[in-house]
Order: sequence, then structure tokens, then C-alpha cells
Amino acid sequence: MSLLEIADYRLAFDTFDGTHHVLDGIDLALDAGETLGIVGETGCGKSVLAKSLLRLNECPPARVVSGAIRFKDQDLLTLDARAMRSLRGRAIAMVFQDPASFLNPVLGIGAQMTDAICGQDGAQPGGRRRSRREAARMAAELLASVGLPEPERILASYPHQLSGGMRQRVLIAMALAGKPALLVADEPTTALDVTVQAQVLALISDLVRSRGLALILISHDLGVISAACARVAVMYAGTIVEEAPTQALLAAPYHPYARGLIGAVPDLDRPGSRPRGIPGSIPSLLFPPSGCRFHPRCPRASGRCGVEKPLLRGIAPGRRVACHHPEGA
Amino acid sequence: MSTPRSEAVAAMAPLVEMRAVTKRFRVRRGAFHTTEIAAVSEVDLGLPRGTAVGLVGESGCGKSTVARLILRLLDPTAGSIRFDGTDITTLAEAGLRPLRRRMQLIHQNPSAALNPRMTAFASIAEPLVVQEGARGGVLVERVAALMAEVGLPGEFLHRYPHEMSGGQRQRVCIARALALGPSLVVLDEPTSALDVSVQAQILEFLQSLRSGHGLTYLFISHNLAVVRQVCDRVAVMYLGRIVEEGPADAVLSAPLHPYAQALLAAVPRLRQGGVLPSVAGDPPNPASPPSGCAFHPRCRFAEARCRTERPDLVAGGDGERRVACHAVAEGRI
Repeated sequence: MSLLEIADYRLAFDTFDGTHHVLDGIDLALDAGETLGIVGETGCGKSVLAKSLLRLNECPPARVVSGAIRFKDQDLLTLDARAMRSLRGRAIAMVFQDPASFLNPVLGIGAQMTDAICGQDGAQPGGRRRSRREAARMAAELLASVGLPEPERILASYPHQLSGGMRQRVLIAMALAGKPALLVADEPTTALDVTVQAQVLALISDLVRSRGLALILISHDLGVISAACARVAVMYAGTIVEEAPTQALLAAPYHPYARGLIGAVPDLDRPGSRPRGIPGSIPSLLFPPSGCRFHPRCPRASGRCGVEKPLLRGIAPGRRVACHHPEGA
Repeated sequence: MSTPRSEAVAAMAPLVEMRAVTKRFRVRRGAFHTTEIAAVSEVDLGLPRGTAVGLVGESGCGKSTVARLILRLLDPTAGSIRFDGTDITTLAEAGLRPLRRRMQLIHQNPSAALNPRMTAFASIAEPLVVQEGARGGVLVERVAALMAEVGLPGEFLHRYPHEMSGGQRQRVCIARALALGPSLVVLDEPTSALDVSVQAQILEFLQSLRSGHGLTYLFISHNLAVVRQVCDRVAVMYLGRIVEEGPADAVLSAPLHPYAQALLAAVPRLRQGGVLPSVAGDPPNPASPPSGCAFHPRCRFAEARCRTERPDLVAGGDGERRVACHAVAEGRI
């Protein structure tokens, strides 16, 4: 059985303008220890999907229209608030894009980490609350495990005294405090410089391996996904259009949007290959296109694409695509 | 022997020449202390006419400060800057004004660069009104021509920024920059705020624009793949100094400076899973730069000399490029 299973999950946002159909029938599964990247452009719903796993989308305006998100045996969408709280951080932990905004600027790192660790204990029914001293020792161990030298000095620092890369390591350490089975990282390196990004990606890959973590990595950057994830799901306008082993997708995408996305990335090692844009722009989710949401921009679209929504179906071993006219088929 | 400089020689000279330009900022440290930070130190950089020169490096390395110095939006602390033969280092505002129209800036975030209360027409028309006093039918015609040039249909003329996509907003910014017929366009991370599918369109368009108008670009980016696609030459900066400069193809395929090597190796590649951190640690604090070569604490080639003596930017490698590294000068790399 999968660790995580998302089935026909639909989420809408009710606003003054009307209802935005942000996620439209997401189907996805993840096994323990697996690494999955979710890639897509601005507004495709990848962050909303990530937050859904911890039920962090504010309802309202968000509204679950249908579907289920199962983690182990529990349906996360029907869990009561208390049970959900004990799951956050201990079963599923999350790391966000901008490490600076997830640390309290007027509290020391030590206080924030021990708070997080003791808070985990409190959320655990019948759990024993650790003493501050025990928690501080554990915090130092966690900092060492994410490759921060001199943990004691870091614990005594304030966020502004740390670099962006160090702050992101601190947040990763805090995410590990509850020994989660699944780490959800939403653009964890986007705010970082490229040399520091490489360090943090290597750290995440190490942790995934050494702790047997499952990883969902959200990114707009196919290079980042390729560096850290064995499998990738491509999202467009609230739907998953293709899912495949990362290298297989990059070598031969089936979905025209996936192909367009890959073709738009400039290749550092092949300056001669001219990246091509995708004509048109992303659709409004207030009035999404009928049928396949990509059909107005698609070079392969037929009449059928405008009326019939393509389902995500298996097309080759380990590969699924939602397209009536996939490439090379 | 002195002969009047022929036009041919003038045309050969770079459009912009920075010589040993330094910019220091005073920053407050606590209530009573101020300290000086050298954002840019002794930068020598030329922008040959009609070429695109890339400026790359990580946040805080001084690339945007270089851009603002060239545009004289900042006054240099030391050194000299020439624009098309004119020394603009200390030129007064009145003397600068006729040159301003020949140098334009395109910002990273088009949403912040456009006034939300001005339509595309008003934004593009503004420089024409201010600098040339254009109005009436002539103004409308010129704005319409600029809109057509950047590929925006006429119906966008009366749209506000919030009614456009990011790529369309950036096209409005480009049209506004082109309005006065500039020679130099400084592009500060022009596509970083855009999605990759839109980025490809804008980059393609910027390239055709450059060849069509014979523009000179200073192209600032942290994305090395984008720089390699657009630029003829590239300068790599680290902590306020240029550490390597040369033809983009050479520098970005076989960099010599250890920092340039690390930067290039850190870029995650599409078709090669996994990533190896190429260099440990973070860029140092510009308020207390390391002695000698600023990169030495993170450099695997560092020796005693690197800790005490700062390397000069000198011709290295194939002779086509300049490198500031003892190890390269000594033939250790």
C-alpha cells in the first residue's frame, strides 16, 4: 500500500469574482522512501497541492469539492483538527520557499527549535513532554545532522545573524524534529544562490537516503527536480498532465505541455539549442477552458480536446499521461 | 604624434569603459557606528559596441551596483566611467541629461517597474513627452509603432498593468526603454520574474532587438544558461570584484577561476540526476572581506600567497580573457 494516495482531489477557491477551480481531479500516489517532484509554472496549483497535504489552505476561501487524500490508513480530509495537528510535523513535515519568513526574527534559534520540539511532544496524545534541556540537546543534534557546524553557536543566534542557506538548514532541522515519514519541500532553494542551492539539494538527498524519508519537492525548475527526484509529475492549470520517471520524461515527454516546458529551458551545455517559448498564456481558473485545459495553446489539439477532458492514463511502464494525442504515440 | 581620432577608431572604442571603479557605501552598525562597505572594487570593464556583456555572480556580489554606476544612478567613489567617449564620472545632471536618453534600464520585476495607475500608452508615451515634447497624433503614432515592435497588439494600448500578464508587462517596459532610441540597454535580471515558457519568448525577442537596432547590452543575471544564450562576453563577479572576464562561450564552458568553476558546476543540469555541492560555505560578508583573495577561504586551490596578496585581474588562459587568480597565474590550474 502506498504511503500517500491522492484520489480525484478537487479544490476550489470561492472569491468575490466567483469560484476558481484551482485543483481539478488530482491523482497521485507515493511509496515510503520515494522521491517525487512536482513541476509547473506560476499558478498551476503546485503549492496549493503541497499545502493540501497538511491542510494548510485556509477554508474558506478554499473548499474541497471532492476526492480523498489518504496517508497510511487515514483520510486527511476527514480527520478532526486534533488528529490533524498531531500528524503535522510528525507524519508529514514541510519546508517552505523563503526561510527568513518562517523564523521569528525576535526569537533566538534555540528558543524556536526547542518550542518546535516540545510542541511535537504536546501534540502527541499521551506523549511525555521533554524538558527544555533535553529539547536543547536534541536541537543541537538536529543542527549537526543538517551539516551546520558549531550547533551551540547557531542555537544562540538570531535569524538575521545567519545566511539564507543556514536558515534553510535550520528549518530542515526543525522539520526533522518529529521524525516524519514524508517531507514536503515547496521551492526550498528558490531564494538561495546557486552554490548554496547545490549544498541544500545535496543535503535533502542525503537525508532522504539516510532516514528513508519520502520526498515531495515542488519546483518551477526542472533542473532542481532532476537533481533530487526519481519521479516527476508535471502540472498545468490545476491538473497533472504527465507523470514519469524524471530522466524518462526529460528524454521523451508524451504530453505537448511537458514537451514545451522542457524545450523552453535554456541548456547551459548546449548553447546552440534555442529554447522555444509556449505561445499564449496560462488560462484563468475562474473560467478554465473546457475539455483539456491546455487545448487552446496546444499544437496537437483536435476538436475532441475542447470537449472531452483527457484522463491520466498509463501509456508505458511507470508512465501516465493525460492527453488525447500524446507525442510519439 | 597626435592625429585627430578618426571615426573608425571612435567606432572601435567600447561604448562604455569603466576604469578602476570603486563604490563604497556607508552603513549604520548599531546606533552610533557607521562602517564602510565596498560594494564594487576596482572594476575594469568595457562594453564593446553592439555586443551583449553578461554580468554574473551571486546575490550581494555587486552586479546591480555596477549597472547603476554605468547609468550614473550612483556616483562612483573612485575610478572613471566613459560613455561613448564622454567622461561621465563627475558630469553634472545638466550634462548627463542628453546622454540619459541613450542609456536605458530594464528591471527584474515589470510589475514593480510600471505605474499601476498608468495605461500601457501612458507608460510608453512618458519618455517621449518628457524628452522630446511629443504630443497629439505624432505621439499616438510613435507609441503604436513601439507597441507593434515589441509584439503587443493595439488593444493593449489602453490596458493597465493588472490587465496584462508578466510577459506582456515586460514588453511594455521594453517598449518604453526603446522609445528614445538608446545605444545602451542595461537589463537587470530581465526574465527572473517570468515563467520559463515566457522567458524563452522574451529572450528571443531581446536578441532580435539587439541585432535590429545595433544595441549594446549589459545583461545582469544569476542564470548562467540564459547568459550563455544571450551574451557575447561575460564577467563573473565575487564580492565586488571581477574574478574572470572573457568570451561567454569560453568562460561558461571552461572557466579558469575556481569560483567561476564552482558557480558553473553548481547549476543543476536537466539530463544528469543528482547534484554535487561544488563549494562549501556561503559568500563572505562584504563588511569584513577576507584578506588577500576574497575567495580563498572557500577555494580548494588556496595557498599561503592567496591569504595575503590580492590577485590582479590579468590576461590568462588563451589570452582572450582576464582572470584574477594566483593559481591560474602560476599555472596550477
